[in-house]
Amino acid sequence: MSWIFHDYLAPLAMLFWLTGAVLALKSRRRAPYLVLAGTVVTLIFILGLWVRLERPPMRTMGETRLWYSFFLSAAGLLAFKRWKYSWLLAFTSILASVFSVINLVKPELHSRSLMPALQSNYFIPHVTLYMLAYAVLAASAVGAVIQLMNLAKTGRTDKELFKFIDDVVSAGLGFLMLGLILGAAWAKQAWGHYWSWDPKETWALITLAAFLTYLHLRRSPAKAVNPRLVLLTPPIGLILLMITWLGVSYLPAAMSSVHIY
Amino acid sequence: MSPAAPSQGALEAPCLSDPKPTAERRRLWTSPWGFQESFVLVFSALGGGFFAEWFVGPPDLSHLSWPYNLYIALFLIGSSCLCLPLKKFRPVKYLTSVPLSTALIVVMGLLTLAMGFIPQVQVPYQPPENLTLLGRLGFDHLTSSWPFIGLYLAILISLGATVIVRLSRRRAVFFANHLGLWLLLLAAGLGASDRIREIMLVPEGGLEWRARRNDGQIVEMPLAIRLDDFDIDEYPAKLAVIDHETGMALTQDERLLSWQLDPMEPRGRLLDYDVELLEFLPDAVPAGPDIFVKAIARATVQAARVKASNRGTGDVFEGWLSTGESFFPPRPLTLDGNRLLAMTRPEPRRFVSKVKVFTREGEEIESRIEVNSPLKAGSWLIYQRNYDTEAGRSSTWSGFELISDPWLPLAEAGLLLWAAGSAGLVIRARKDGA
Ligand code: HEM
Repeated sequence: MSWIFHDYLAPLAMLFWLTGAVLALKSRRRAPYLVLAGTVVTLIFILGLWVRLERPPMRTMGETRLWYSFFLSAAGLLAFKRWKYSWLLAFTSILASVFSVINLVKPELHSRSLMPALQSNYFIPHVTLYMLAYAVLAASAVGAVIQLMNLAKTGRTDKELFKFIDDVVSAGLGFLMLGLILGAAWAKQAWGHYWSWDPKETWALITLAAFLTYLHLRRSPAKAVNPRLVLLTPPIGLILLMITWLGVSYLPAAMSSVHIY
Repeated sequence: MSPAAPSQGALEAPCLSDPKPTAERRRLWTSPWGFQESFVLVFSALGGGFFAEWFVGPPDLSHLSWPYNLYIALFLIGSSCLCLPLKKFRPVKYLTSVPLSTALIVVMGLLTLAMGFIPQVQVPYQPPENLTLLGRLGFDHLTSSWPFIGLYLAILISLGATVIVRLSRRRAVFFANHLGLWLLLLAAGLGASDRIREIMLVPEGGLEWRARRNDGQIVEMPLAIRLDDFDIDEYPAKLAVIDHETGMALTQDERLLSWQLDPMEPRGRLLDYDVELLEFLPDAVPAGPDIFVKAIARATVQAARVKASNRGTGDVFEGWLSTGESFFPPRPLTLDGNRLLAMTRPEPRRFVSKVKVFTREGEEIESRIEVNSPLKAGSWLIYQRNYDTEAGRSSTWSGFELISDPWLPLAEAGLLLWAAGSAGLVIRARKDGA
């Protein structure tokens, strides 16, 4: 299955996702099934592409966006199953669609070749964990924004929702750090050192620091720190994360990065 | 979030540095110190670092090599352990408190953010008047500047004390994360001056034991490498359309347009042409003005017979193209409108050096080295680095990188522990939510 199929499968997945999102916002029971259908369509395309390219489709930006869409909708479904937050399901489905649209309007040069440094057992888990972390941490940021809105409206925070944000940051940070650690092990194997302040590494560390800040601020007593400040860290973290993923290539500090593709 | 207090929301969790929960604003510098004091403190220390950088210049880290970095490491471990009996003591409580550690993490994040925007250079051994304002403050070589190194040491001290003081069997996740990070930071930072990285170019069939540094200096290494064979395996080349006059490949939206030769997908489109791959020879030599044959030889090229039809005019162009190699110039196919169809330089799929390594201890290792699979010889790791990319598959030398890092085992232990801690965070989040 080559990229040509994307022109048909991506709109199909988006149709499922967006109707799912609308139904979720109307609290209809069928919403998760539609989102699931979109997720399955995306997975089928990814697997087909994998077979066709004879390498995991994780090299180009377009390819990582496919995975992000997939994990985002899958994470939304799992979180919905547990917490029943329909706004979360709607949000993850819409965001997954946004990344599909980017792939549709900005098709990139897709090449079959994989440079030798990328041919490693670390490649797949490294990228997968990062995309997973990005998806889960995006959910934490939305949760934090909703909580901020609660705070503005009622002056109080929702305890259950805080529990959700805590758990999601915890899991997302865990994935993020595992991705980073695998990246370090890979760098040692491919380039000789586990950390070389490559711009992508630098930005990954910045992102990590933001979510670590949330984790540690939450360990402090309620009176010691303004909850607004605590709740601002996940959205800030998400912005930094997007810069790490999509923006680093455009920064002056990134001229010599090994992560530019 | 804590297994010690699973039913409590974290905001309600007790904390050692719990300030008096008074309704009115508390005054600064009343004990115990909280977030305001911590940020004031950390930012002041940082200011001191920038001050030192401006007036003294970057710290000279060459003194920090073995065994002095070991002394510092032992001092850090010792002082962390000393915190255990002193844990009721107010400064130790503060050292291991959430406000201080949060301030340290945030400020480290901010310094890293600066590093993310400002291109970093090697430590400038130049007179300060040559430096920019930012450079004099250390912003273009942050990792070897006073403020950064000071913050790094502060984190090591606080983190080390926290691990020891909060040691408890019920807090495995906390312990794995913090001790892992601590070991990694220790090995990565203090070990930096002991890390050696040398580059060695070995001609095919030759033996080499000297490394060449960037500044041209030549150093003798404690091991020698004999290159018995060097092999490159290439991906099929791509096709690009070239303007005959300028010699430049045509682009669209500033991107090079190219078409990947791929026997599995022989038909495609490139600019205004429908292209078709009729025949592809990965190892070929020219056998006449317009014919290539398969060959097993030292010097071969990739050759392809291609048909290109202009979709506007319907004109068809067909013939052989090839990549270039030292003996054979690249061969393009002439199209209309002063254009050529040409094969780009193929990308390597793999490159492998067959070597024999001789160490000073008399050890002899015969092995293959390639990207992502370095060879371990004594305390050295030998990496495949590069080759003569101009010559491509007929490169007559192979470049290696020799790396020695005596602190690596410590760093690896740290990474493993940290990974266990990260997995613990994921698992714990799942359990809590269920
Ligand atoms: C990889 C980075 C880090 C991770 C994943 C991490 C994670 C955590 C977690 C999960 C907790 C809650 C502990 C529990 O309830 O069991 C915690 C607490 C804490 N962390 Fe970290 N942390 C990291 C880095 C740091 C650093 C760099 C510092 C200090 C400079 C630090 C200082 C502390 C302190 C003081 C506590 C409070 C301990 C307590 O409440 O008893 N952490 N951290």
